[in-house]
Amino acid sequence: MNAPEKELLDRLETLARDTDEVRPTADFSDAIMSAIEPKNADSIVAKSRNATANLAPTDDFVTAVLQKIEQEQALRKEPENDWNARIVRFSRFALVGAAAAAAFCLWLSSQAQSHFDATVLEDVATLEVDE
Amino acid sequence: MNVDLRLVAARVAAGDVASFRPIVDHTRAPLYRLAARLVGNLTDAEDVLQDAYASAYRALLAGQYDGRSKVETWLYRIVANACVDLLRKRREKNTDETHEPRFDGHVHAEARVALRELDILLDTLQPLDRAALVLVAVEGLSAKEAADALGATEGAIEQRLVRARAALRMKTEEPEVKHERA
Repeated sequence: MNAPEKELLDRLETLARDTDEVRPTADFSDAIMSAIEPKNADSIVAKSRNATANLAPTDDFVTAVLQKIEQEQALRKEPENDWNARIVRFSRFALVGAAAAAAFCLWLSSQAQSHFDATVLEDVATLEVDE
Repeated sequence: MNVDLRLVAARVAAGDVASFRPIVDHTRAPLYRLAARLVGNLTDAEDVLQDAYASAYRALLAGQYDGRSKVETWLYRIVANACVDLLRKRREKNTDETHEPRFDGHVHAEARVALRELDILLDTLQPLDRAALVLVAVEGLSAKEAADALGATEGAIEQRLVRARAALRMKTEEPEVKHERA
């Protein structure tokens, strides 16, 4: 037998020794028995209530939840800032545009008014001259 | 130790992220149990619970918790509804895919078997019928409390309970009938 083969066999032997003591937990037998017992809906519901009465997640769960929240916050912050900046920029542009449009409309209206007045006065003067 | 989580919630609403930890610490065990019983396995329960806590945090920041009910009751409602959503999605996708749970610590094999059996038993029920039945028969709530948790009327919950129990009775009697016929 060469050296690598021997080494492999030694490792297998060690593994076999290490797993000699592997046993299911004490509640394994209860789980098997309860799995093969005849059941009705009420007994399943009652069993699930009793068997899960002490369920609780580990402490790592709290850390995972807080990490998830922080990640979500970090993800949301970037686009939010970007979005806010865009809204502010657009609002400013819209405000200045609206002010310019209002000023233009005022000027146009006063121009039209004076043009109209001049035309009316001209027509009246023409009529008076004709008469 | 009795902590008034309403004060803690107010701190979270003011932007103190670290204050959310005591809320999770104080509520995780009963909510984990609720989620596991509603969805029928520990992996989905963990995922639903994480998402529910994240959405609760967002709601606190957005000022959606008015402090009229206890934080525990408010979270209970959020988790119950998140579980119903998951059951609906599962029904639409028709998948039975579960992975190894990550945060279950030392869970007795009996609990896993019991949850699996409960999941198989309630598998055919409508998500809200299933939720109503679990809240009343397993969690021990009254019909009124279950209605409050699921955002329904007491009458609607009573109806769902009758329907769910009838479906279960038919389901558990089916094999015997077949056996008798054979």
